[in-house]
Amino acid sequence: MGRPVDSLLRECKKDAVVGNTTRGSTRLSKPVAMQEAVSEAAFSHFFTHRAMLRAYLRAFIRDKDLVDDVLSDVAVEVARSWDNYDRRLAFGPWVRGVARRVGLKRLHQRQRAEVTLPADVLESLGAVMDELSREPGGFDEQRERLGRCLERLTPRNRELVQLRYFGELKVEAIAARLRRSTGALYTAFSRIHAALLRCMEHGQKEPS
Amino acid sequence: MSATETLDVDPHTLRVVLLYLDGVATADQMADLAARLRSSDIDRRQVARLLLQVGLLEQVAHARGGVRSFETSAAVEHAPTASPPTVAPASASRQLAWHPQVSRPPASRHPTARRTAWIATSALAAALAGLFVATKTRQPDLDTAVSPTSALVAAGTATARPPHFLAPPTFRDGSLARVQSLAGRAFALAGGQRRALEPGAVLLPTDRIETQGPTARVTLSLADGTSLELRGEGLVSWALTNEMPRHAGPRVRVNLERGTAVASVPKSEAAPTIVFVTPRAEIHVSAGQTRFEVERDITKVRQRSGAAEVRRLSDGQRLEMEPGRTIAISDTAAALVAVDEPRALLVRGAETELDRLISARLESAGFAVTAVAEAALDASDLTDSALVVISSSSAGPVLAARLSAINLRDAAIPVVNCESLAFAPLAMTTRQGVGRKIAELIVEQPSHPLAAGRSGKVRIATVPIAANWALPASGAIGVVKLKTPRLYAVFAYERGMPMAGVSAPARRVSCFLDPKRPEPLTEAAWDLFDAAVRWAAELPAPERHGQGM
Repeated sequence: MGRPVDSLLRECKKDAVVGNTTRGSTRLSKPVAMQEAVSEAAFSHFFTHRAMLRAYLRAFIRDKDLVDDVLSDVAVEVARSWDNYDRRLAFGPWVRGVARRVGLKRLHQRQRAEVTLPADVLESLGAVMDELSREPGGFDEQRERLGRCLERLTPRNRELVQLRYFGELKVEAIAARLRRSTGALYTAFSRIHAALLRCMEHGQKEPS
Repeated sequence: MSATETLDVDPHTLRVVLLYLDGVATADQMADLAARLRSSDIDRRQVARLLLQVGLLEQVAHARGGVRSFETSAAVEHAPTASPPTVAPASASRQLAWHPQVSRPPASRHPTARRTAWIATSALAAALAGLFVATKTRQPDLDTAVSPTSALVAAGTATARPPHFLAPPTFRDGSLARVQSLAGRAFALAGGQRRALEPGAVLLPTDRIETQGPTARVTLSLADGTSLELRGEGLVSWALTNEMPRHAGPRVRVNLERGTAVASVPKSEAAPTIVFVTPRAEIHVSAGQTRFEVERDITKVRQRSGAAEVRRLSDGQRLEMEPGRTIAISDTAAALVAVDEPRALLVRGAETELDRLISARLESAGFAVTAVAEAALDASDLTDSALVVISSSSAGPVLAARLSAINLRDAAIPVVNCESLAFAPLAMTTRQGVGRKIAELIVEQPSHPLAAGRSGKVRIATVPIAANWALPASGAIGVVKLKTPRLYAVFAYERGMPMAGVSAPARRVSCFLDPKRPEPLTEAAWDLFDAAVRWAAELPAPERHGQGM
């Protein structure tokens, strides 16, 4: 993993041009223009689904940093497996399959047996996320809305959000710092998220 | 998703999901959650939205390097460390800010995982043949305080830009730029192919842009709000440069390979996301407008407004660019030497389109323009100013008070005044006013430089507009007048000539521009304005190739 970017780039381009053996298949050489087109198409699809994928991965991987690692691996895998993707089928389920496979593999490598929701439930959640990503404005707009809604939180709630997400403190640590019970904090966070969801839905409303 | 569904947000379900995400949900809670998600579409949607929301929060926080304060600007001043935030009392005017100075958590927090993430991200970027994916899988490292416009965002103004920290360096489709407008011939080159550009075209990181012919003009808009205008023949390429998610530097590299380009970078307290690179130099524009002229052996950079930093590639020498500063960078010169343009102080009220046009005319005349709101006008603003231009966007009483306070009347700085109510404080008139329906003026002294080569009747607007007039003092040079005798639209005082009670300490010129909208103004009107600026500042008159009305 310590290889410089240039060598990785050469390696990946070599894969794309002279063929690779991903999942047992070997591709013939491609003209450079076609190679770029493949990369761009793969990238474009991945990019438009990235938020869904991150949320999907987060639903069964507890470690946030590992989620980002896996997301990177998924992108690489998407580029490499692009030719195996049947264009007649929706991209979302296919890429979630890739993400699930990559994610579980990484968890296995780390010897982590996390208790997760059943696979069918995760997939149904992923399908809803996929659907939400096709709402007008998509995730970029949701991100903007979230920024606005965060600004409207009360100072107390904003402090909680900051500590949890931007301070990367666990709820237990926040509870100790603020001298509150963890149960009370989970209740507070659930209300904050509910308020943010309402705010994001109806932009003008004031969250709690 | 209907509003009804969203209003049915169930905090209990959300609570269980949060417990689950933290790995502390009990088996019963997990089973109950799974059952709910299987049976209830509403619960599925709410949980999906929650997961997306958590993902966004973690993504933004992660991209910003872990511990970052999310607090009020007041608190920022008093909380320079990663200690718990000090939250200022709530107020309507409070602005949230991302604290750029807060230190990261100890490196030991997740060192391996993060290093792995960085490297994996590098591999990702490489695999997608453009070094661009990784920067899109994470949010940009824009250390920023929310700009003033974010107050509008917070108020729900749809047209305002979102807080900059949430703005990615690319558009949502992964493209780097869009063609905003185009004149002449321009092409995108990619993969050995060439496609003609047209307005609205999407430009990917792999595209190079070629403009052909001296009249070509292409304006590109980038995702961070930067506008890049390519003029004449030129060649530009670009790429997302830094796949490291927490890198504080620019994320987009714009290679100006040859030709002339003008970049307008929006003001932001965030770190710049773009670096401009020529064969000789690297230019970091933090805000404002910068013009680049790129030739094989030399790069010329002119800072029209805002600020930038130039670094010569051959030896790493750096130079700060200020408004009005021009620099030519070559490898042969021993040191970087800049030439500063004279500064024009534009005094205005709330900025109007007329002000922007006036500013552009002043820049065309070779000035670096510093605009100051009338209420904020201070004597220190006169320092280093070669010319003062007072716009009619000013509110007269406020301006009059400030002019008296800084004693501009006695300042030995040339003044061009377009605000009727400022004539008296400047002692330029004995009587003045604003004509409401003026479309034509009469040139009384066609040979004077202030006449801009015009003579006889001059149409200053396509429809009757408001314009200043005045009855100047005896020492004035009357050049352009109204049909009413003795009332002038353009008059001036040479240095030392008597005005209303005092001698002119420097050249003083009147300007009639006071329209509600600038659109009806004719070229003749602007020529008269330009002539006023040149005469006041004692600049040479431009060469003229005929005149028209």
